[in-house]
Amino acid sequence: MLRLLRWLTGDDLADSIAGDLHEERLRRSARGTAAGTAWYWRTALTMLTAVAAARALAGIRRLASAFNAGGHGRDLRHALRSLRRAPWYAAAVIGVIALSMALATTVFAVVDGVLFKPLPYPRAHELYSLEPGFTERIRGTPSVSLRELDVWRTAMPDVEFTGFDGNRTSGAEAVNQTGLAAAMIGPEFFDVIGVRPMMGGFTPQHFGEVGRVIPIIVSHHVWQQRFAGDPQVLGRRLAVDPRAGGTGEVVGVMPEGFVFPSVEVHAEILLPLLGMAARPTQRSLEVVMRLPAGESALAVRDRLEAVMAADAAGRNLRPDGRRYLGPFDRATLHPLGERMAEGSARVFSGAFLAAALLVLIACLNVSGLMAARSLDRAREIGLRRAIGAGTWHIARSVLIENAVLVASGAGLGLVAAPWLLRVALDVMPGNLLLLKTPVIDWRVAAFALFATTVSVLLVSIWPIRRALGLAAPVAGAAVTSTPRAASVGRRLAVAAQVAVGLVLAVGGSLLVGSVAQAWRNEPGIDPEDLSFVELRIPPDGRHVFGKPAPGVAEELAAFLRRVRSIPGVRAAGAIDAHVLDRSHIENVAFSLSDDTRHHIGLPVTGGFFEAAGLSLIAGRFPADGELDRGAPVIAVSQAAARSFWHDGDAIGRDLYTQAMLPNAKPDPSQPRRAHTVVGIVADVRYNALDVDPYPVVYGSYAALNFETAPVVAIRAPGATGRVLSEVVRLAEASAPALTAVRAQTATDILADTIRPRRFLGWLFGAFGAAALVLVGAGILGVIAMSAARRTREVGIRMALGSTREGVVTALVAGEAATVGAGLVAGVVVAAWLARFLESHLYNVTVYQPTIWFLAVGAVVATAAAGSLIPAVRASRVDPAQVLRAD
Amino acid sequence: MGRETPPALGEFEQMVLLAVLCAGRDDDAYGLNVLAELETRTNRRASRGAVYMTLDRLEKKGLLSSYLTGPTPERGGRAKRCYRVTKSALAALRASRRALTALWDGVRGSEI
Repeated sequence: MLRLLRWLTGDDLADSIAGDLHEERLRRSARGTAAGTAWYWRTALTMLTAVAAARALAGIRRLASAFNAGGHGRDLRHALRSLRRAPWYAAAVIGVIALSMALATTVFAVVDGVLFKPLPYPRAHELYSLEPGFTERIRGTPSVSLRELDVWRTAMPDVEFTGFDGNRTSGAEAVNQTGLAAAMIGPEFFDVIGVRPMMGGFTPQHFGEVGRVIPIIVSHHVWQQRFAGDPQVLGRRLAVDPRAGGTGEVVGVMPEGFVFPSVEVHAEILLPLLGMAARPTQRSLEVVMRLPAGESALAVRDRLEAVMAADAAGRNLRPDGRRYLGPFDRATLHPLGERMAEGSARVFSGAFLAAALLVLIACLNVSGLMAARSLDRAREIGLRRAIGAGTWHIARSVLIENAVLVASGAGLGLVAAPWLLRVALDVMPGNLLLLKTPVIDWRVAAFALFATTVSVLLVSIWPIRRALGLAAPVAGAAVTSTPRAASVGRRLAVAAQVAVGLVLAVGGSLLVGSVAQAWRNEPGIDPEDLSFVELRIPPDGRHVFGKPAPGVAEELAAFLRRVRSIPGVRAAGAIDAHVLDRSHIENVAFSLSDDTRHHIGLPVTGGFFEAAGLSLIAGRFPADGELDRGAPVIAVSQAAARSFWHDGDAIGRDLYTQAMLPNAKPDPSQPRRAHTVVGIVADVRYNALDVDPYPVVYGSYAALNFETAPVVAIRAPGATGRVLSEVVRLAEASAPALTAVRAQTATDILADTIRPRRFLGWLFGAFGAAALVLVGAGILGVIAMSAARRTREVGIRMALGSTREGVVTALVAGEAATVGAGLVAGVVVAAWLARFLESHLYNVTVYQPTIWFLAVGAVVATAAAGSLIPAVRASRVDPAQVLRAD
Repeated sequence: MGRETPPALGEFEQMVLLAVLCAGRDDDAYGLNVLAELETRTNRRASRGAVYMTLDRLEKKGLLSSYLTGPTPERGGRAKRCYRVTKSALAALRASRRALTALWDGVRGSEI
């Protein structure tokens, strides 16, 4: 509702009206919540209707008076009457414009939040993201320690530094158990960024001791979604980490539209940066700096590097190659906006370019169609000229007719845009940074208006020239273009359309082909009737690095027993792995006794193999009893069997456990234990559907569990949805011993793993398809125009004995060379541009012949259809009638 | 330079301007209390949408000026837009009152 109100009245007024309504609703709710809510919706709807009606009336009045003032009203009425007599032409033009405009506005609504919207911070141009590094290394790490930050702050007091721990793999993630991204911020954060909480905030005491209750500031979105916009939210609790750190208490709410300034994490919860004083040299902070006004980033960088060099000399520390890489000696300053958008800017720039190309094709086509229509109106235009209509009058009448068509098409496109946008948001990957939620707002409407105006002007040039040219002999004026020049222009327009259409078709085919390839991959699990619930079992201080966490396996076993007792559950079991979230953990590994080669160990409980539907290749699965009591038996994946033993014969052989260090290297200090392989199972794509499976070894959860984030696999044929909600309820009832952070069907999770790829495929596939439709329509228009001009010639040919086939061939052949030239140009441009798509392709090469043949074939088929329809129509002309007219 | 003629006001515009003056006497005049004043003093219902649109239009005509107060929890974190009547609005209201009074003076009591 607010969105509609904003669209009608503008952001400021809409916000104040919404605030008024909210205030009165609260007052009325004192008499009863239901009465307040009913009043709110009734009043809001009545008011919206009144506002919309007032705005529409005012608009119509303004438009009407403006038109009538310049005599445009008469032209408009004339244009509408004339279009009513040519419904197919009007429908074709409106359809072409609507299609291109719907796609263009949808793309603009999405890219507006990435490419064009300024960062939502005051004086955002002064904010820079710091990437410190080492001269001898190619890339640095963006994380710095508290000690380094303090040294830089002291040496450069005029530069404002803020450090925050938004890294998903360090502190913030360990504390945050709510399933929302969190970041720990320092006390200076809000001063440096220049945005403050809209309610509450941290106090200096919050940055003191770690307590049982963690003060948190939530985003506006979390406030609205989890607390229903409760004005009394301060002091309310949010389960942050029930055991390890205590419950979170809301102490503030960030304003709407605030975006966390991190490259890594789009934090929705802010926590005070605690406990860093105890580990001042641990590098886990991302740094954002506000530069002094008037000083360049290069100058600040030079000063910072000098400070780093002095610090390094004073410390005399040597890198130890594992936890600490020595003092930084190089700094790179990235403008914060560029840095934050670097992941998505390229994709969206490509999408925006593709949308612009589509609008260009649409304009070329419409221009062709309109020029063809000028020929139909030759008699009328000549007559008007003869009775004294001036050049401007003729041009204005063509311009107004075109404006009516383009505006109608654009309007229709705008109506379809919200629907298209919903589809786009459904398929959009969640990790893309957007500085505003994509909506059809005034910015998008302004873009549509701008694009429409440009389109009207673009499409009108050729038809106006043609109309004036047609009228010229009657009025005695000079002919504006020779037939030969017009023919060259027309051919160039067709060739350009075909070329651009082919470029978009190739791009779309390559990306859609990649999605198809990813979908064809076998996941290795049976996703039908399978769902996953990711749990967190707070370690409560039990977790000792490299050792199983005591009690965790028992808690999980008890939970699994309760899950299995739910009616409809055929099997349930857990695995300690990141299932299908494009990452993996490496806490324990297995290796041969005489080999340093190791592969990831995945602890599983009884019931997992059956629940996940893994296929057995040889031997047997470890029995449920063996897994639950921690017996030293394991199963290996096919890839692991081949990697450890060249003959792949693993059954009965031994592997040894190997605890891993955080840098993915074996920890030699931990004892190794022998496990016997009892089975070989099919490879599973644990990472993502489009990532090759890695070799794994399945061992007993009771013996190996090092993590406290197991994923429960549940197989419930025909009852997945119901069982999933019951499992989540079970987890809620088991809190705080464990909490569920993700619950999804396997099919959904699999689809999510290729979400970015699907988004690109959808986007560019839609562009490719739309381009084909537009190219077809454009060629149809051009040939129709050509056929209309040659009606007399066709009639004479047929009177002289030419067959209908001969006439069709002659008309189509005339365009074949043009289409061929367009195809060649398109192939050259597409071959050059396709290289930029290489990193987005999967199992498809840039120059895969099948895809290129398909794309070229589709363009040729479209061009053939576009030329055959008007050619066949032209060949039906009655020669006697043509000769009589002559 | 001749004296500037005050802008002509519609009936509803006059009522809204007067309601802003009444509401702004003891407190900040904003949408809710302007509507309340209007309804209480005229003893008739007013369309909320029409009031907001008129406030917006009067501001655009330069007859009202507005300012925002800070966001408050009871308003769902949204700011309040408060209105003040400008000098030209006061002139227009006076001119309107003069015109009406002159007309009323010409009407005999028995005629209505």
